[in-house]
Amino acid sequence: MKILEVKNLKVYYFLHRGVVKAVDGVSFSVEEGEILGIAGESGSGKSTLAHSILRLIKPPGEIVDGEIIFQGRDLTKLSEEEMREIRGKDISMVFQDPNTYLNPIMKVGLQVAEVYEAHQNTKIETVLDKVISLFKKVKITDPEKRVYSYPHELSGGMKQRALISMAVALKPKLIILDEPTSALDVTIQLEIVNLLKEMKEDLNASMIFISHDLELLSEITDKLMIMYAGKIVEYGYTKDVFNNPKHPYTEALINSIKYIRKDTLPTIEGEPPSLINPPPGCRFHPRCPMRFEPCNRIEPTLQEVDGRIVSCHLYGEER
Amino acid sequence: MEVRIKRREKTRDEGILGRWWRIFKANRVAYISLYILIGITIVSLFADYIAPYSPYEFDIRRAREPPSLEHPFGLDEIGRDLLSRVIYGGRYSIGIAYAAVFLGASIGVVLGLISGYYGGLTDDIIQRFTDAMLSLPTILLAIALVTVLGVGVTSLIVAVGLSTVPIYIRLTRGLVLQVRNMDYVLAAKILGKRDLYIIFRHILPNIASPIIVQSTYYLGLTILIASGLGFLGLGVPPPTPEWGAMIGRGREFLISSPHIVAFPGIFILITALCFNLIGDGLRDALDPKMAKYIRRGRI
Repeated sequence: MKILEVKNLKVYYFLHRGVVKAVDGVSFSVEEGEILGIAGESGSGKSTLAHSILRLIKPPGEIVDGEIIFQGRDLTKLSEEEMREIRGKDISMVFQDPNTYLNPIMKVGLQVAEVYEAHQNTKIETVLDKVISLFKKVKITDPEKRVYSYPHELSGGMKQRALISMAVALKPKLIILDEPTSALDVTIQLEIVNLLKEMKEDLNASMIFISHDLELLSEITDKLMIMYAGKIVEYGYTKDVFNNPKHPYTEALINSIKYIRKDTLPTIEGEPPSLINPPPGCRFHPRCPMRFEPCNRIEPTLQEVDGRIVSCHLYGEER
Repeated sequence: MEVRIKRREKTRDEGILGRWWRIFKANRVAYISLYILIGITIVSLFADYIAPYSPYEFDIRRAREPPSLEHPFGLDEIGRDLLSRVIYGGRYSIGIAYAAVFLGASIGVVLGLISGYYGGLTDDIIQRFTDAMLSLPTILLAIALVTVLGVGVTSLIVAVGLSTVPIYIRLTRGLVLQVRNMDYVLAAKILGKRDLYIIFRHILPNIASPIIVQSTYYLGLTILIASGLGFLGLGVPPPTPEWGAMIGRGREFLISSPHIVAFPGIFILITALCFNLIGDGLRDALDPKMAKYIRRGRI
């Protein structure tokens, strides 16, 4: 069963310099219990996509078109209060940098307790036991003491665990992970990823895992979506996409990690395009090693190739 | 070396309040000011027991008598004991300052929080209102308000308090704008916490210290404004012993009997100065950047 379905989502930022098309016509869905990975360079629209699912796009940004259907309800049409009730309870989020996503002058346990308070109208004092058992679940050492600690008294890994405990407190159906390991040490990254997997099994929740780390995504996700300049370039089962990439961009991304032991690191020439004035035709064509005639004129459409969706002229009629 | 280690250990278990107190104490001037102010406050609070005479009883025959052993501050223009009047006057002057700042800060901070957090049209409306109030100097604004509200202690408090509101709005709004886009505010929103909780539990505590420091300065300023209004005859009605009003009525005798003006004036000066100096001390104590001086063992 589909838990989330995003249809033709367009999120634009209206700046003085022009309109930034951060997410431009993206459609995908997340099945119950599935982990969807979203990868792409910085500025490809991954985080904007995640924030727009929770409807947290602030002006000058705006969701200009599309539907976000979560459990049969279109989130783009809900009122702000209905949306607040969904945030944290049905859809929650784990953040990138645990150092900045915790309020520095508030005890950690209190911040977690507030999540219960916000959704169940319970007084903070009565949920302390719940917070302690939650801390045990996410393997925070010495939970009875840690609930009274301030964020600066905890290590980065512990802070991320506390943030995860906030995200899973109310057993959400969908958890969005916005690069949850980027700000952590490599050794702690593994612990956090394992903890996230455990939590997912425990809650039978679906996850959207946003990351730069393709290797990590290839290991834990069921499906993989590669974004470039606000559009999907390839979307399908992780093992297909990762082992046999069809789009030249996906291939280049995967090559850049597969050959990491070689003397020269394969890179992608050029820079990500401006989203105000994207290149005509295929947005990747100026950097594409496989480009041919129609690429700079005609925008490729999404089409099914080998059980996944690819947006490339190599598999179209123009070839 | 040993001394230094000891010092470091001391800093570790004292807690945040202890740390603030230690930095505050290191500023000798602020520290002494605090004690002077506590002294003045206690004396005016217990005026009934401390004042040697009644502040209202007069003896017109002995009007404007200079200081003597019997009457240390002398007698005022209609022969009341000036020391007693100064002691009772502290109640009004300092009391009005506290009440006015409390009123002004409560209204101003709440409006500033709303204005900064919600932005958009709400912000525009509150800010244009603030612009209008700021276009008048504080004392003029207070005079205008007191004219509308009439003369009396309550209206003086309201007038002086309201005249400080626009600056509180501006200060708070600016601070909120800095904190509003912090990741932990976004996190609170993403986890479905209510706006009111976010404003009062996450934003307000993070911007409290500049507001506290500003309020301390404002206590000094409101004493001056309240005294200024009293001097102009717009403060509390006679015969209430308020410092500004005492100067106002004594000014005719400035040359012949300067003591009538001098003693309340000195107390206005001392009290306002103390508040300002305490504000400086608090500013240093509440500033997290001071931590580097502590680590170096200077404080």
